[in-house]
Formats: sequence, C-alpha cells, structure tokens
Amino acid sequence: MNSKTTVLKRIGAAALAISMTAALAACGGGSTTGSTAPQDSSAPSGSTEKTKLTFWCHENEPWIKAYNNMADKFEAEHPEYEVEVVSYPMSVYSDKIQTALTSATEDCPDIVAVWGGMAPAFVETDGLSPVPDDLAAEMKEDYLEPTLGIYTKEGTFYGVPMEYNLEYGGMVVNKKLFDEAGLSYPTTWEELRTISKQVAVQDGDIVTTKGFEMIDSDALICNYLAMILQQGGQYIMEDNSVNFATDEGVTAMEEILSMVRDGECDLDNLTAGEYCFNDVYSGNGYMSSVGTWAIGEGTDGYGLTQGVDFEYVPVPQYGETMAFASETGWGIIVPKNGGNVDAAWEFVKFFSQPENLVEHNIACNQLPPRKSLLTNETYLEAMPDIAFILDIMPYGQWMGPYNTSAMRKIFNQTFINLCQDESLDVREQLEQCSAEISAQCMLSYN
Amino acid sequence: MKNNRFVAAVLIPAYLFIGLFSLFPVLYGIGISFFDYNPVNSVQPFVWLDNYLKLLEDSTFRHALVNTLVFCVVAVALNMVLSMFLARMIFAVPWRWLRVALRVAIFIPCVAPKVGTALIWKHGILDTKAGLLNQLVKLLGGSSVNWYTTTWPLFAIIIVFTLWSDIGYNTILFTAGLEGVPEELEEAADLDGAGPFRKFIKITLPLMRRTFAFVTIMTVVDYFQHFAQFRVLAPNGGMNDSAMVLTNYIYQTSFRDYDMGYASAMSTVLFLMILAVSLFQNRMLRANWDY
Repeated sequence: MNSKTTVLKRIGAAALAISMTAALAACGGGSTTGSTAPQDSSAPSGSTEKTKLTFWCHENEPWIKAYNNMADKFEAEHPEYEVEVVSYPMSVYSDKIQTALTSATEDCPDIVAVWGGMAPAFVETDGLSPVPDDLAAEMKEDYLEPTLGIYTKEGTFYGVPMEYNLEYGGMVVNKKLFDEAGLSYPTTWEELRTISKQVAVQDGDIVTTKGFEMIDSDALICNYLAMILQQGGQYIMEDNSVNFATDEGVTAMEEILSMVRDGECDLDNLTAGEYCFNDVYSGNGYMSSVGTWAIGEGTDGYGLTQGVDFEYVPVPQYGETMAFASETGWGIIVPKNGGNVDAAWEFVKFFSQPENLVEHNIACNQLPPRKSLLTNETYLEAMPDIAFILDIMPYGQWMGPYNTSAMRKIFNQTFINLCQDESLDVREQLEQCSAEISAQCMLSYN
Repeated sequence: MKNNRFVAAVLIPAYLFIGLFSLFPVLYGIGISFFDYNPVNSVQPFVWLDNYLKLLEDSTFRHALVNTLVFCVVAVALNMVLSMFLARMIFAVPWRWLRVALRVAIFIPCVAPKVGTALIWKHGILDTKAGLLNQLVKLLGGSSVNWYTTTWPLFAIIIVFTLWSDIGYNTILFTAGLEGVPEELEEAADLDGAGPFRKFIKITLPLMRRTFAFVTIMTVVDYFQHFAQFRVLAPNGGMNDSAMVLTNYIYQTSFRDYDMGYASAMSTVLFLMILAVSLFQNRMLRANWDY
C-alpha cells in the first residue's frame, strides 16, 4: 500500500513538473530558433525554399492594393523571394513599428512604410539600416529636397521617399453642390472667400454646410506656412528656430481666423482628428484643401466618380508669389534587426526604380519624389487633373528640421485658443507658440 | 517536514509568479527612470535624477497631476455616494427577482470594455453634428456645442462616463455588505424608535466599515490608473491639457515621444502616490471589531 502511494505521489509530482515546465515554455513565446540575433537569410542556399519578406503599411485601401501589386511584380522578377504585405490601422501604426523595432528578428518586419511625421522617432535611434551607397547616391542626385529632410541623419540616409508630400496647392470640390448652386470654381483668393461665405450654413459652434475648409491637422499648418511664404515672409530663422510672430505670420493667422469667425468652417475636424475632405465627399462641404492622395479616398473610399461627383482643382494663390513649405512624406525604412536586411534593400531598390515608382505614385495619387519623374509622360497621361501641382513643385521649401507631428500639436492648440478667445493678442500667442515649437520639436539629429 | 515541503510546493510557484509579473516589472520600471531609455537604441545613457528634475519644470505634468487628483477625489466620492445609494435602494426592494434584475441592469456597463463604450459615447453622445447631447441642447433651445473645445465640461463628461461605466461593481459589493449587517441590530433600533435615516447613519454605515474600506481603497487605486476614456475622449489632453491625466501623459511620452525613461519617472511618481494613499486609507479605515 505504502509503495503504491509513493508511486502515485511520484507520478503526480512528475505530472506537475511537466505541466509547469510546459506552462513556462508557453510563456516564453513560440520561437524555435533559439536565438534572437539578427541574421541575414536573404540568400537561399541552393534550396527551393523562398525567402519571405514582410512589408508593413497602414490601412488605406488603394495604397494596400498598390503595395500588393509592387510585391507581385517583385516576386515575378525575383522568384526566390516572397513578399507579404501586412497592414495596421493608422491609429496604432506608430506603436506597432516601435514595438517591432525592439522585437526579436522573427517578429520584426523586413520593410516598413512610414509617414515623415512619425519617422524621426525611428531615424533618431540606431535601430535602422542605412540606405546602401548606390541607392543613396541616386537619392542625392534625383530626389527633391523636401522629400529627404527627415530621413537624413549626419549625412546618411535612413529611409527612401516614396512620394513628394504636398498638402498645399490643390482642393477637392463637390461638383454637384457647385452645379446646383450655379457657381463656378474660384480662381482668385477673393472669389474663394466670397463663395465660401455665401454657401456656408452655421449652427452654433458647428457649420453644417462648409464653404472652404483647411482646418484639420494636416492642412491647417501647411496652408498657414504657404500664406506666410507667399507674402514674401519666412518662418524659419537663420539659427533654424521658428518665428511665426512676423507681420506676414500675423496677417496670415488673422485671415484664417476670419474664416472661422465668418462661419465658413469650424473646428470640428481639427478637434475630432478627422479630415475636411470627408465633408466634401459626404455632401456637407463645397471645397477642401488637401493633398492629391485624397482623390483615392473619394473614388475608392466613397465610391464617387472624379469629374462627376467631385473634382481636384487648384487652391487660388493667397499672396503675390507662389511659395509653400512641404514636409517629408511617406517613405520606406528597413529595420536593422529584420531577418533579411539585404533582401529588404533589394526590394526597396526595385520599388524606387523610376518605372516602378511612377506606377505606385499613380496608383496612390501621390506626387513623385524624383525630379526626373516630374516630366514623366506616363505620369502626366495618367494624372492630367493634377498636372498643375507638378508645375508648382519647384517653388517648395522643406518645412524644416522639426518633428512635424509635435509641431502641429502646439500650433493647432494655439489656433484653437485664438478661435475660442477673441481677446487674445495674435502676435503674442504666435510668439509663445514659436518659442514652444523651437524648444520642444526640433529634431535631435538634423 | 513533509508538511513544509507541501507548503513550499504550493507557495513557491505563487511567489515566483508575483515576483516575475508584479515585483520585477515595478523594479525594472523604477530602474529605467534613471536612464535616457529608448529600447530601440543599443546604448541607454544613465542620467541620474535628470528625468525627475525635468518633472518639476514640465507644465503638462503639473496639469496631469492636478487633474488626476481632482478626478480621483470627485469621481471616487461620487461613486461611493451613488453606489451606496443604489445598493440601499436595491436592498430595500422586497422581491428577490427584482433585486437580481436591478443588479444585472446596473452591472451591465461594467462588463463592456471601456474603450468600446467610450467610443460609443464619443460618436453617439458627444458628436458635434449628430450627438445625443447636442440634440438635447437644441431641444432646450440652445445651439450645437463642440464639446472638445471646452475645458471643465469635457472633464465633467468624462467623470459622468466613468461613473456610468463603473458604478455597478461597487453597488454589488455594497449590496453584499448590506446583506451582512445583522437584522437584530436594526430591530433593536426600531424598538428604540430610530427612523430609517438614523438607522442607516448610526448602524448600517459603521457596521459596513470593512466593506467601505475595501471598496474605497480599490476604487481609489483603480481611478488613479483610469486611461481608456481619457485616451478616447481627450486623446491629446483636451483644451490646454484640461483633461490630461497622468496615465494618458505617460502613454503619450512612452509611445508618441518614445521617451521611456521620462515616462518611467512619471510612472514611479504615480506608483508612489497610489502607495501612499492606499497605506493612509488602510490605516484610517481599519476596523478592529467583529459582530
């Protein structure tokens, strides 16, 4: 009896030990490699097994389609590789990248699409692989200056631009609303303001039908900076600090404030984190300043037809001379701890080839980042409605060595404060805003 | 000897679990607060107390600290009063089935994830165009308000949301506490001619001191850490940081600015605050009696 009990106890103890070991092993994750050190397995050693590359992007229907097309094209030309496109909601995308950069090789993506506003957080670390020399030389030669700023750290590139980001210059207009009202699109700033006041309908804090809109987190600062520059002013000082409290800065701010005070638009999109173009596409707004990328949102997201439901036309110039500031837009980075760094750069080089890049830019309604593509016939044929943007691109300057996401937060808050309290002194508020941006948002590496 | 082995076998895994998943992260977090820490970097410079000194000059941190304290004091006080009131109301219902139905109805919002319910409030109630609140304002003759440009009204709305989503849990605990109060004491008070209010104040409340202590401490600790509704309804801290709380600021500093050393210093301050308040409450509400 005793020996039986002892045997049972031992079996029980062994079972407990096995189950605890199994539980601890399960907690340890599913890695089977036994090592987290980055390894480059980009060259399959004679076997038929394909090297799998993971490409991360944010959720945007037409863009995901374009990335998948690029992946298919790459796989057709390089049968030894397989590219998987994985998308995440924009609201969590930056956090996902940050976590991935600290992860083990098998959990880290090989290639990541990043927005210029979020890129500084990654470029300032030593977690990214530098752009290979041959591609870097090509970038220096052929890429427009505003597209490179954020990706440049101590003379080395850590990302490759996919587009020229321009949130100024064009606007989507609701063609049906204009036709119904018997109005034609404005060609001067004065006309724009007149139509905007005429068609807008206000209800308390909100405007139910908007005239001209530019008050969302993307368009507001871009239009404001363009308005300063077009008056012949400048907001980046010689020491790279920001100063909005110039005569031109105050005039431009008062002009935008008058749009809200005259009831042409409201703060709803800015405070809710939404884009103004949604109002135009949903029939609640006439005109919205936005980049060319929003055309795809109208056709694919809303199922509208360009030329029938809406059109993309120039925003009338505010000042005497054409000028604007552009921030670095979407680009591609390659994490250092990805498992296939060399293969990842192969893919990026393929992506960046002019004939491939132009296809991607067309599919995503993006502006090309390469100078040589500004006169590309394929692009001009496919995108006749945004050709006017290509004409103004040479007049752009880089927005400056600032984290533009952080810069926007401070600027937008100043703008909301000025809208809410008319007794505030505009120049004083802009001085304070400039000082905060200069102190808190300047890039640590540029 | 055999007994000791059994005790060890039972306790060691539990201690290991607590050590690994509770104690170690806390100590690791405190350690990180002394570094300019970004996990993506291969080198993490040791910065001594720089992160703590930076807190003293950070106006957003000051706002977040004050707002967190105000939120805890106001929301916890309202939660205690309302949940006790609701518990007493439910306890007074003579039919068991109705008591159960009321408990379930009050508890339902606690089961739903806060992020989900906060999003429903954001789009369904606070939306400037079609939100229920603005419809109500218009019905009363007012005009639409953009609630996200307000300061204390948005903060008050977040407190109301918190109470709505949270009050059921404490109501259930207080109901259980009320059921544990001996009936004979109330009967004795009846004989002495005490009214319902007097009985509640003089008998029920003092006898529920243990339940009250438990509920208060747990609620305070919980409310210091509330995050989801602030993240959804005031992601950037509201107008001029008027609805910024420590948890949201810690999140922003960690995952938007990737300044994890500084975020850890703030977390340490929050941890010490919760610890101090909990110890103080525990001592103040200690009950050394039985019935």
